[in-house]
Amino acid sequence: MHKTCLFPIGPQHPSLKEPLFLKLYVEGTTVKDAVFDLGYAHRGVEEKLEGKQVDTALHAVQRTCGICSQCHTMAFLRTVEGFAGVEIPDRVALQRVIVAELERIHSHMLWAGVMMHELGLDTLFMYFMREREKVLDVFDELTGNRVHHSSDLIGTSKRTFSEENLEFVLTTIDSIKENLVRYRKTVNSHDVIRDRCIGKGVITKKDAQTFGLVGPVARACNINNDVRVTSPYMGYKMLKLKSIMRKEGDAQARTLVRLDEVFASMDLLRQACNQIPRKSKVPKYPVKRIAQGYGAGASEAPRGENFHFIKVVNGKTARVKLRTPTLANLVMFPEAVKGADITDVPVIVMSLDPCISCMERVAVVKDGKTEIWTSHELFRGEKKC
Amino acid sequence: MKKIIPQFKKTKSERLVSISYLKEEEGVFIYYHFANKTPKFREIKIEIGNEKEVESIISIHPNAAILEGEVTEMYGIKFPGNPYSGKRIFLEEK
Repeated sequence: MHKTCLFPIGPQHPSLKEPLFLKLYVEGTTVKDAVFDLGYAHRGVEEKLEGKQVDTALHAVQRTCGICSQCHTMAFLRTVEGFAGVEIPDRVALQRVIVAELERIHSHMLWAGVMMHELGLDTLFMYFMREREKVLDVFDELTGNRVHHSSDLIGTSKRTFSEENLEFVLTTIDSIKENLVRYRKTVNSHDVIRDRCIGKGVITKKDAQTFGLVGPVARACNINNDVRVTSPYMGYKMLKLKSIMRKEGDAQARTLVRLDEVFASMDLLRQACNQIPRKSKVPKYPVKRIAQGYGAGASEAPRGENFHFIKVVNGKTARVKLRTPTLANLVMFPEAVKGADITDVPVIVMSLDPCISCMERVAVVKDGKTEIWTSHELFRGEKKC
Repeated sequence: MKKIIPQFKKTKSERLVSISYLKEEEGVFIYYHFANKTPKFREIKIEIGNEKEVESIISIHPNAAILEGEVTEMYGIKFPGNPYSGKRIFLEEK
């Protein structure tokens, strides 16, 4: 008879890439219960977004996450442009999609690399990271920024992608695809990966529906809630996309859904690059002032539906609520690891692809004091003491 | 306690996306956003006035647990029956 004891992982732990405290209650090596303790990457983004002009809020909102920066931009712009009645030209819509799909590729490859590292396959980790680096070079070329692309404004984009830029996108994805086909084959056939992923962290379709899961985690349970398909927005209205779905609901299914989504994104990129109107340019001036309005909108981030609820009063944001995909999937984390062997926990947690910095974006007021940030400090991302 | 369950009975087939607290000039509101088969989100806006307790909807939407817990933590509105109501999710313990 084993006694239940607490096994802590984190908040700082070699197997975690972001701070998260897993409290596992184990009997022997079997996890009986799990509690996830958060708050270690908390920055108070929502509070800092309040009382800002809409174009200033856009700068802050796209810095919520370093992996899916463009998807926050798109959710914010979709909502704001929606209730303000701002029409965007096809070129801008497709340019935004190009950056978003490149972001999906880099996010999934980063995730795949880290997942392989968790499985003890560091060579594959390096292979995935090497290919991801090429995508970051494309971001550098297109937007001037490797991480926070910051390429869009209300109603327009900051620059027009040249013919050479689009050619660079296409040649880069061709070179990545060649290698990625081999890596996907390895992932699907490698004994270590199959043993450690198949049948691990199973989530049933019913649970996924009941708990409202989103993104690749839901699609690995045969639920199609891809926002790009169910509610197409911006350039996705012009492109053909089929959701990648699997039925198994385990860690292997989630792995393969993400890898297959990389190929789907490459296809979307080809379509977008071919359809972009060659002679047009992006509008020179963005919409500067939005007096009032409120609405809700979503974009499909690499981890799933990214929801924004925005209210603007007298030209300033009264509330910006962000519901990131990890928060939607968080409720399932303890259930996914219950009954698992303790050695499988890092693999199961990683297969859910948590983005902690995205999720921990809520308001904070410490000791009853509210921090005031100037626009300049907000742009620089630091506060003068 | 503000009773709200009857207004949510028809939302069972929809997916709860978000719960947002918002203090406006007209009063204090909680917005519930739902996704269904249409491209737009459906919202249910509940005015809570000075109420500090609101009925939890986890019996209809189990994923409301963390979303309601977040509102409790940030704005002090309690949702009796929610296991996360009163627990710390993001902020440091006092």
